[in-house]
Amino acid sequence: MKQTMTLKDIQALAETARIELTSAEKAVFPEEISVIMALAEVFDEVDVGSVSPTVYPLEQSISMRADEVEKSLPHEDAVANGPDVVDGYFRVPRIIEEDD
Amino acid sequence: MIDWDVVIGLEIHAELLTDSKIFCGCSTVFGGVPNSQVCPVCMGLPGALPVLNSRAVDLAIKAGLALKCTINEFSKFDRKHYFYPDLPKAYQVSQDDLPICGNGVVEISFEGSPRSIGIERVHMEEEAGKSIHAGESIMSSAYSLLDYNRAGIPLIEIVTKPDIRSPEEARLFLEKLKTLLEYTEVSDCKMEEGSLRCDANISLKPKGTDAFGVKAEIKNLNSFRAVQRALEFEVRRQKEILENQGTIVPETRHWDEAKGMTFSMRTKVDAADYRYMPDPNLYPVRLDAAKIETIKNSLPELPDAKCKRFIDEYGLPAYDGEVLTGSRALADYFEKCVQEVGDAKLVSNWVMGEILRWLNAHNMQIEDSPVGPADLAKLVKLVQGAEVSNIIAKDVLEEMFVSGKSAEQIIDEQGLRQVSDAGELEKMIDKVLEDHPDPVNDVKSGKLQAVGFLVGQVMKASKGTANPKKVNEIIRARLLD
Repeated sequence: MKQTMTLKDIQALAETARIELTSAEKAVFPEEISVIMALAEVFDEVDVGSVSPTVYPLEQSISMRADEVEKSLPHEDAVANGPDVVDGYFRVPRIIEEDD
Repeated sequence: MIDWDVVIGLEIHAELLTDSKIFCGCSTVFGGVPNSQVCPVCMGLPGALPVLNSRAVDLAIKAGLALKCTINEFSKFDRKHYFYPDLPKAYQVSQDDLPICGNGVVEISFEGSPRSIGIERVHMEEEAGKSIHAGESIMSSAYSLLDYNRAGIPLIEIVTKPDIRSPEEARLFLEKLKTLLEYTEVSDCKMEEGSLRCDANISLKPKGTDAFGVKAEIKNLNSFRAVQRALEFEVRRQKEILENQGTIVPETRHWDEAKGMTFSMRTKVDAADYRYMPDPNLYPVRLDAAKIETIKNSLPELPDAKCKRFIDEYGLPAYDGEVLTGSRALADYFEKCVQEVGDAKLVSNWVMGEILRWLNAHNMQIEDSPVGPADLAKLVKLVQGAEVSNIIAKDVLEEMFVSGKSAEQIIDEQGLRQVSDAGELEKMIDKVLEDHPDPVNDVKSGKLQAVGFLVGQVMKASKGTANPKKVNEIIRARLLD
């Protein structure tokens, strides 16, 4: 049941995380990540059938605030770092991918 | 030819009616100057930490209770990762495997039969920003403009079970859901402002088989009518493919309202791996039973209960009950009017007939009606007291809508008070009988239909103010006794 990462898996991971890999990295990652996965697979040997999942390691519960409006950033400050601001909006390249 | 079962599931996003955003104090008011209701938290600036809005939690519980869900005393927030410019942190705070509500049901009536549509879950999440696409549509735009005022507005996502069996049933379900969210004041459900949005999953399977077919997800559904139309289109499209031995591709499709068609939409979100993980900045939400009970007790009378009460208490037909409880404001309007008038069916006829007709024609809601329930009650009481005829009262109502004057004022100004005085009526009737000897002879020889014609002539001569019941009595007495 040992999983081995293929080059294709690595490319898919890189795409999901928006990471660009060099060809040198592409060459070593399949093996390196397979090793890491094998380490993690050790946990598969533990029988956790009777253990309820730990959702959060701490006992604390979330703290909440009342529904009150507070001051927002001044508009000029909010857009100050935008590389391309048009009529108060941030302008970004088209979102739909080109057909290929 | 194979018969197909249609399988539809809906995902509905509803903005919660809070004043401030879910994790920061920025205002949620719609229509502000772009990027003016933003702060480091909702713009995802590094180091900014979220603090949960307690009212958002209360409203999510309220929605869950109205949808007859189980409210989970333990739930948590997760990060859902995807890259899209409307999502400044590159993850959305949502709830993955432990949502706040699960397993509910919404009862609808479809073609006269009751149907139960299961609710899989209701979870809390934050809104993304708003992207405005340049050009004609998202498919052809050269660039997009981003406004983060909407980013961080609290949402609930309601996911149905795949229990819906036709496009029309989908629309009926949505109408009922909207009514429930409005009654409980969880959301204002304004589709035109985007505070209620719906995506639809649809697949076909050969009738009677168990395995679900491959589904398509339809987006850009901007009205309930669009949901129904898009699903109807999709049923035809999928049928045609399947009946020609083709295969359905699992994909997201974009509804084009103008063309009346769905199109395959290849976005960067497609085939995404969301990499859910618990949000380390937000501890789990732990609710106690007492809090849930308090919210339960604060729920208003819901539409099904109200409808049943209208039928039992006022003796209304089921149809009237359903229409009148279609919104809380409409039900309140009706009840206020009944308190004054007494005759519930009479009020129901006026509200469902004249009032709704005028409001629909002017694209207005009952809340904005220029004629209030007390104004209508006064008019209906004048009809009850035979002070004004039913037909003239309809004209008076029209005038009330336009001028804002009271019924009494319009009736007095225009001399519309109904004439019931026998002496005055006799004079008008004498003249009509004299002018129409043939119908008079018809009546005398037993052709009673001609009475109607003569009454009509008197009504015409009196410009509608004669009391038709009295006129009828007098003419019959004159010609038949």
